[in-house]
Formats: sequence, structure tokens, C-alpha cells
Amino acid sequence: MRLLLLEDDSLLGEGLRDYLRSEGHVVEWFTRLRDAQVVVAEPFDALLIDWQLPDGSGVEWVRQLRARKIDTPVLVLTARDLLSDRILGLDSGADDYLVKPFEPEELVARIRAVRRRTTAQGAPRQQFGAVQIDTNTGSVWLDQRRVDLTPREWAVLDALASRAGRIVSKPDLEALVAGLDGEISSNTLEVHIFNLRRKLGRSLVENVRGHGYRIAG
Amino acid sequence: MSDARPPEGAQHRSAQHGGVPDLTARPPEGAQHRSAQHGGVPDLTARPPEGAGQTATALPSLRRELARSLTLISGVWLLAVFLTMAFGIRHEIDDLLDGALQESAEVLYGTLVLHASDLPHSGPDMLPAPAHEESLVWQVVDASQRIVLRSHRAPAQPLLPAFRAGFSDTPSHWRVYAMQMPGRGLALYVGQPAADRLESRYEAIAVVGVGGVLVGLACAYWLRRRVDIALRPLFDLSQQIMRYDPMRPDTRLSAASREEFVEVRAAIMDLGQRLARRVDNEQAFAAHAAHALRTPLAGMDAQLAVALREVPASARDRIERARLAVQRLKRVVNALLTLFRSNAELDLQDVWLPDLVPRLPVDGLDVHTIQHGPLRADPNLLAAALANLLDNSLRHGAANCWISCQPAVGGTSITVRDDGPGADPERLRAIRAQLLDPASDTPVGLGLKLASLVARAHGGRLEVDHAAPDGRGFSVTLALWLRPDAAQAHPAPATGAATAQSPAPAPAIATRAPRS
Repeated sequence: MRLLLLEDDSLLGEGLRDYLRSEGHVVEWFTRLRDAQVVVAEPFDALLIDWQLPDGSGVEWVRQLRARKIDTPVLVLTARDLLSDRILGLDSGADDYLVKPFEPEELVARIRAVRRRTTAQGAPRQQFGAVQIDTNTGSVWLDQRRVDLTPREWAVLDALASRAGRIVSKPDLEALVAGLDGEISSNTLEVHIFNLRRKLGRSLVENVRGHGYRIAG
Repeated sequence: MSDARPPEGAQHRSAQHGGVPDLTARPPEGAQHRSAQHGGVPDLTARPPEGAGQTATALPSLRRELARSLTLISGVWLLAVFLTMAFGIRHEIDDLLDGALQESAEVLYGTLVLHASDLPHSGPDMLPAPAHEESLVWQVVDASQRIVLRSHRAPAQPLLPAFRAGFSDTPSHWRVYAMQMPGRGLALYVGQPAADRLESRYEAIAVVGVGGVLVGLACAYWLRRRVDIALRPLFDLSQQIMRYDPMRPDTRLSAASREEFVEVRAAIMDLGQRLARRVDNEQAFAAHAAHALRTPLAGMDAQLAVALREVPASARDRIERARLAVQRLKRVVNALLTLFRSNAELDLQDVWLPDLVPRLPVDGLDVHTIQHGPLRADPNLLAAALANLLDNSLRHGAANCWISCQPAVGGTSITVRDDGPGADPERLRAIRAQLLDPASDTPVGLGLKLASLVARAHGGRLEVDHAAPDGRGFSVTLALWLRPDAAQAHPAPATGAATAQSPAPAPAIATRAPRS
């Protein structure tokens, strides 16, 4: 998943960024609200937002995002644990509220849970013909046989599976891959799609010419 | 187990026994003795916490005091009035009757003197008359006290044994008025029965007395009603004060309804406002402190989680231990922030110590846990308290620790006992004094202080003792839910609502061996 992390504490921000990357996610880490506001229009799978930021309130920003009809899943990360704060945070439009100090394992699990809720997936395992995907463990099976994917291939497959039945634009997928690879060449995405088709079957990923790619729901 | 105990003894003990104490892995005898006090159920009511048990009905009542005083004063006043009136009535009735007696005698005297020539010379003779009652009788006697003439109901014997002018009371219960008649040496006796006079006196007194009692009762009732009415504003004020929450403007005290309440109301409002300001400051401070403490902790944990994946296998154990220490620190920080916040909200859950204790990051201590019955508590606070107590035991040379939880008379008790060197009686007294009075000079470590705060947050108190009768070992008891209102506010779940008297379910036992 491509995640936006807005956390001003460098120790925590860096730790979370590296941990989430080690989990196979693409993480864009910002320490200032104004920097995050510049890129929020890009396709992110979830926003991880600290409440108290040096240049503003994360929760207030969530409220503004929802007012602008931006429905990207939001997890508020904060040290404020009062019931009134939790209610305020969730009422601002956040999908989840995690009180510091939390274990990064719990954060990852909550990101998965939020994504399942927002993509209307009931269970962590999804079936696409002969292909089965477990979003909790990042595992893939073809005809009951385990298939190994690279982190980039998994990121592309995960992005398509989470929007199963819908077209994911090529720039969005390229931004996702770029987050993992840094600079990418013009055909990097096509190479990853080719590899996915080779490992999981040609019919899994459909190319919608001029728009992007899609996995049949 | 106290932080403040000197660690030398612990080191000596470890050296002497090679780190293995000579106490076996069974609970110290003192603990068994404690449990046996109430058929296996400890009594937590033996030393109630400060302020507990002071119910409203046990205190002197202003209303009762006023009513009692008014009743007493009314009774004394009524008695004094009655006695005064009785004395006055008796005196007046006697005067009245004596006057009537004397006037009757004088009227009779005139009549008899006018007809002195008609009086017989020998007697006794009785005037003819129809049968009738006489309240006054009369006799005419000669010089030798022989009756010459007498009225219909007058006795045949002279009323007086010897003539004595004026009023006389006779042994035969007559009030007599005697007059000397002119010529022949005759005398006139006019008498009235003493019983009639007494009856008249009592009737008058009874009528006045009954009237006085009725008036007195009516006054007493009216006074009590007046007391109730006069105290009602005080009752209303106390109700308002009970509802008053300085943090909620809608609960402000209404304007004083009596002159005497103006200063009381002003003082309470001022106190409330000062309290609200302090709570505001405290909340702001707690929010800053929470951010300042929790964010680095989360950062440390995240960094260690990443490091755990990156370091070679040989270093993973160190990283895992560091993460455990961070988690312990998280628990302590959470507990402290919760405890020091004015509006702390306990996260009450059903706690099962045999599950909770093994997760506590205390290595090098053999911990035996047993739980009889349910326990309702905030698991984070309890974990922080227990972790600190176990850490204290370890630092003071204990190798074994027994944690027991059971229903107790008046609450629930969690006892942590160790086989360390314990504390001398003087030190134990000082620790107890410090726990009761935080202003005392005796320093108590964070572990005991934290455990005490956790116990208080759960409506209880902390008790310290020797683990065994010979003074060895240290025992800390968290007596929880001592206040009836606290227990009602946080009732135990239906599945485990055992009271002190209810039969305890089969205990759960867990033993955790030292990891190092």
C-alpha cells in the first residue's frame, strides 16, 4: 500500500517509515502539515496523521479533507487518550484512532483492517479465480501452490486487488512503484505487470487500454 | 519489597545461598494465617481507610439536635408553667373557698344571733330538712362543747375539740371557721369537707394542665415544622453542592436563598473555580506530558521493531529485551498519566492474573500466581503496579514470589509475597505511616507509591506486612473495592460476581520460572 505518514517526531516517524517499508508498504513521510497538504491529492491507500503538529492540527486537517470529499482512509496517531479526544478524532472523519505509545505491529494490523473496511473486503483472504491473496501476510497462492512475489510485484497486485473490479490508473500504479524504487524507467510498471501475469496467469490482470489496469472482482 | 530497603541484605542473601533462597516454593505461613482469618476469606474491614464508614446517619444531625433541644426546652417550660399554675390555682381556690366559708359563717351568725332566744338549751338537735347534699355544715355548741343545734349533714360530734376562733383544719378532715356568739357562751362552727376542697383544687389544676399539655403539643409540632422549613434551604443548598461540578457551568449554585448562605455559597463557588482552574491546568499539563512521554516511547518501540528485523540473529535477544523494557516503561507511563489525571477513567475489565502476570517483564524471579474468583480492575494499572512490586522483590533479593487474588470480606485482595529478607519492624511501621500520610518524612519508592495509587484508584488501599511470622519476606496487599459505592459503581460481571461470602470457584494457578 502507498501510505502517507505525517509525524513530526523524527524518532517515531523514521521508525514507522522503516517498519512499514519492511512490511512491503510504500511510505511517504512528512513532518510538516503544509508539506503533506501539497501531496495529499496523489493516490494514497491510507493517511497516518499525528494530531499535534508544529504547524497545525492533524485532526482539523482530516475534517477539511472530508469536507473536500477526499475519502482516503485516515488513521489518527496521537498521545491524547481521553474519551473526549477519541470521540473528537473519530468524529472529524478519521477511520481509526491509535493512542501512542503503540506497537508498530498493531498499526500495521489496523491499516489492514481499515483498508478491508474501506474496500468492502470482509476477510483478509481474497479469491480471484485460481489465485488466492492474503493481505494480512502478503502471501499469494495459485492453484493452492504458494507463489513468491517481489515487494514491487506485491505492491502492484495489492493495489489492484484492493480495488477489484475497478480500473487503477497507470500513473497511480507508477507512483506506487516509484515510492518503492525511487526513480523508475518508463516501462518499469509494464515489467511488473508482465511478471505478475507470468507467475499468476495471463488472465488475472486486465489491461484497459488508455485507462489503466484492472483485476476482475 | 520496598524500594527504600537497603539492597545489601539482598546481595548477601544471594551470595549465601548461591542465588537460591532456602524457602521452598510454598507460600509463607503468615500468608496462610492471614487467609484463615475468615474461613479462607481475608477481612479487609479490620482497618477501614480514612473516611470510610463515616455514613451520614452516624453524624450528629442539626435537625435532630434542634428538635431535641426544642422538645427538651418545651418540656421543661411546660413543667415549670404547670407547677407555677398548680401552685397559684391551689392558693386561689383555697382563698376562694375560705372566703365563701367565712361569709357563710357570718351570714349564719347574723341569723342565729337574731333568733338567739329560739335556740334550744340542750341538744344535740338537728334542723329539719329534706334529704340533700351539703357542701357546708354548721354546728352551734355551748361552752362545754355540747352541740345545741346543727345542720342536716353536720356530724353529731363537735367539729372542733375546743373552741378556736377563725380557721382550723381538723384531724377529721374538715376545714372549720369558728365564731363566738354573744350571751350564753355559744359558739358557731361552719365546716367544709377537706375532700371537697381537694376535689375542687384538682379539677381546676387538671383542666388547666390538660389545656397546657394540648397547647404545648401543638407548639412542639409547630416548632418542629418550623425547624424543618427553616432547614429546607440548607438541605437544598447541600443538594446543589452535591450536584456541583466546577467543570460544568450548568451545575452552578443558584443565588443564596438566605442571608447566612451568601458567604457559604461564595466560598464554595470560589473553591470550585479554583479547582476548575487547577484541573484545566492539570489537563493541559497531562496532555503535554502525555505527548512528551508517549511519542518518544512509540518511537523507541518502532525503532527497535525495525532493528529486530535488521540485526543479526545473535543480537536479537538484546533487542527483544530492550523492547520488553520499553513496553514496561509504556505501562508505567500510562499508569502514571492515568493516576495523576484528575478525571482518570479506569478501563475496567475482567482480569485473570494467571494470564496477566506471565506477560510482565520481570526476569530472574520465580512467580507463582493463584486466583480465586473474579477480579474487576484496570489491567494496565494493575500490570504496572504488579510489575513494579515484582521488580522491587527482585531488586531486594527475593527469588520466589507468590501472587494471590481472592474475594475478601469487604472487597477483593491481591497479595504479593516474596521470600526476600523483608523489612525490620521499625522500617515497616515507617512505610505504613508514609502510605497513610504522604507528608511524612519516610521515603517510599515509586513501586510502593504506584501500587498505593493503583489501589486507591480502585477504591481501596495498600497494606504492607511481613510475609512470614518470623519477620522474613515482604508482603504487599492491594485491598480493592472497599467502598460500597465504588463496588456499585463498577459492579463485577455476572459471570464472576462472587462476594466475600460466596463459595470461591476453583482457583487458577500459574507458575512462571525465571528466564535468566
